[in-house]
Amino acid sequence: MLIEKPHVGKLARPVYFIAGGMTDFRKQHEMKAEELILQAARMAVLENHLKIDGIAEFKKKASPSFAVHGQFADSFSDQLLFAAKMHDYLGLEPVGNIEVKTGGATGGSAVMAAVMAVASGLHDVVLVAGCEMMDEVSTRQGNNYIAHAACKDFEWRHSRSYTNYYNLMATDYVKLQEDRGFSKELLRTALSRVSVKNHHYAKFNPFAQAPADYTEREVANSMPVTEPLRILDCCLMSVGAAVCVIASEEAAYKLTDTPILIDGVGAGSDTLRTGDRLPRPVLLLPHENEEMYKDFTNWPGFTSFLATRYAAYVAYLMAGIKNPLEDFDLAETHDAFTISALQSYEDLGFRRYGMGHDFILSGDAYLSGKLPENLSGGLIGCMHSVGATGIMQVIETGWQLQGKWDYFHANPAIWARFGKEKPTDFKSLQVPNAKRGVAVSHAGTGSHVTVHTLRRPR
Amino acid sequence: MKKIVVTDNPLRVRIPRTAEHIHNYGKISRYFQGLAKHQIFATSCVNPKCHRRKTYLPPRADCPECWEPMEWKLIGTDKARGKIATFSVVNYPGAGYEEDLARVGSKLPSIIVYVEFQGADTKIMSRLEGCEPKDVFIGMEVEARFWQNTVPRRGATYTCLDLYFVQADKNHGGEQ
Repeated sequence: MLIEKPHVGKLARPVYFIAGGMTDFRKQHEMKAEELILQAARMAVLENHLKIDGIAEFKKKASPSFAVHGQFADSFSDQLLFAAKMHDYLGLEPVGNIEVKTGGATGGSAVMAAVMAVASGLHDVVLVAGCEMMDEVSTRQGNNYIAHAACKDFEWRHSRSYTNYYNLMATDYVKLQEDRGFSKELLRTALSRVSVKNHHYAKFNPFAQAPADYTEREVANSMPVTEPLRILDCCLMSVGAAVCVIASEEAAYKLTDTPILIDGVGAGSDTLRTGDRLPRPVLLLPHENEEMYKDFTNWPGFTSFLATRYAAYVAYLMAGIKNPLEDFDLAETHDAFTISALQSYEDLGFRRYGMGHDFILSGDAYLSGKLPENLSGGLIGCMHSVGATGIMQVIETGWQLQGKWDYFHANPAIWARFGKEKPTDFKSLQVPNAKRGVAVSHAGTGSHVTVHTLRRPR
Repeated sequence: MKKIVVTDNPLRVRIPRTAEHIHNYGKISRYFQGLAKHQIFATSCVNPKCHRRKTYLPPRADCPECWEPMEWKLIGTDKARGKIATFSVVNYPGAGYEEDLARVGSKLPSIIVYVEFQGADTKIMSRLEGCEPKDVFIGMEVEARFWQNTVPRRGATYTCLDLYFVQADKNHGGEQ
């Protein structure tokens, strides 16, 4: 619809991330959904230095009075009313719960629902649990299932593969950038570097599915699912769970010494079919001006995500973010494909529109750079167990801000728990003195996006 | 055997699935009936009070802006001309796509395209036939084709597969 400007609301009271837990993520898992969720929930409650002794005491003293469960596709697990089973197996009855389903943004939306529940005063402690069982069908069938998230009448049948739906955008993005004077080779390098970086960072993440040191050449020459998107430009199909605990101020400080404030929450949307997106004026972030985009007549077109821009606008204004590149110390973004990473860098204001490639090529996106991005490995290196993804991003961001990255990633016992050995060339990806972070969860070809900003309380 | 419940070797069983859905096209049924007759219909908002009167292809019944019913608008018939807005070459599709292609006499590699028509404000996803992947480009003029133009000529499928495109004949203007 036509809007004057986005509505920026406010949280009626402060909301905190206090704990997170995850399983390892794999193509195929020995455990099933409720077992994975329980393992992640145990980790969240028992390993986050909460001031309680055991699960029973957590339930009694922290009294979680609500839960949000995330699962993207019933077709994968073959289990409708997934929330009932997860909730039941966590022994959380009789407190209420909801199941959230917003495609790839399911995890982010689940966190948002918990934030709303706490901010409103309805609940003091809320559990957020997400999982996806993507290992019961072949990858081809999995792609077909995921493609059912595209318009059933007009688009699903055309390839039954999201890689191609994203590649339609990638083709136009490359053309647009060539028209602006950036070569195909430059863009190919930028795409490859996103993949190389995220696989590399996954090496230091015991939870990650696809740690690897690829060369840019290997990425650019990997199996051509299509062109430009190759297999190493694509996210993973994963099984695994993530659980986090969201709490009010009073409950947060009762339970932990290191609560992390969630100070901005934005949700945005766009049409389901990419081809239905009508041109609008660019929605400007606080650090942008009209002059920058005076030649833009077809925004968002196939090359930008209105939903991301809208969600970012709302979250940034709520949190008082003036310039995301300067104000954030780290970011977890939704790199479903290397192309969507570049697109998102622009939508999130890490670079102006048309300069997304520069965010990675300049080195800003690395640990040593201005705004380290996807230190978890993201969806390309760590996982895309869809219902868990957005929760994983919030957890990784929260742990970084708590200064606990090493505690959760460098501990050989955690590597051993997943039958892995901590790499001999291990290095710490803790962002020194990280104060503010942002986590972005994204669905479809940008139909739903949530943006959460997190910070250490002053 | 350990007494605590763990699993190193999970048991997996097959659950075959073949369920038929009878999908209802609702108010936009006429679009698919039109395709069977080689007609491409869009829908247009004609509400004078609407702030964003647009023509939608793919069609939708009601205007998403003002929520009033829209009107059908014929965009074109045989050889209707459009332009490729963007494209993607399909080498590794999801399960079922190759079977779908076989129904309409096509095969991999396949090219999916977004086509823009003069007179429509949105773009429609479709496929391009008779073109090598290396030859397709953004801005290519294309012409509509329908089931009678396919090799099997088996009749309409009443799905979005019933419409496809080929590169436009450069020597003829075609129909708008």
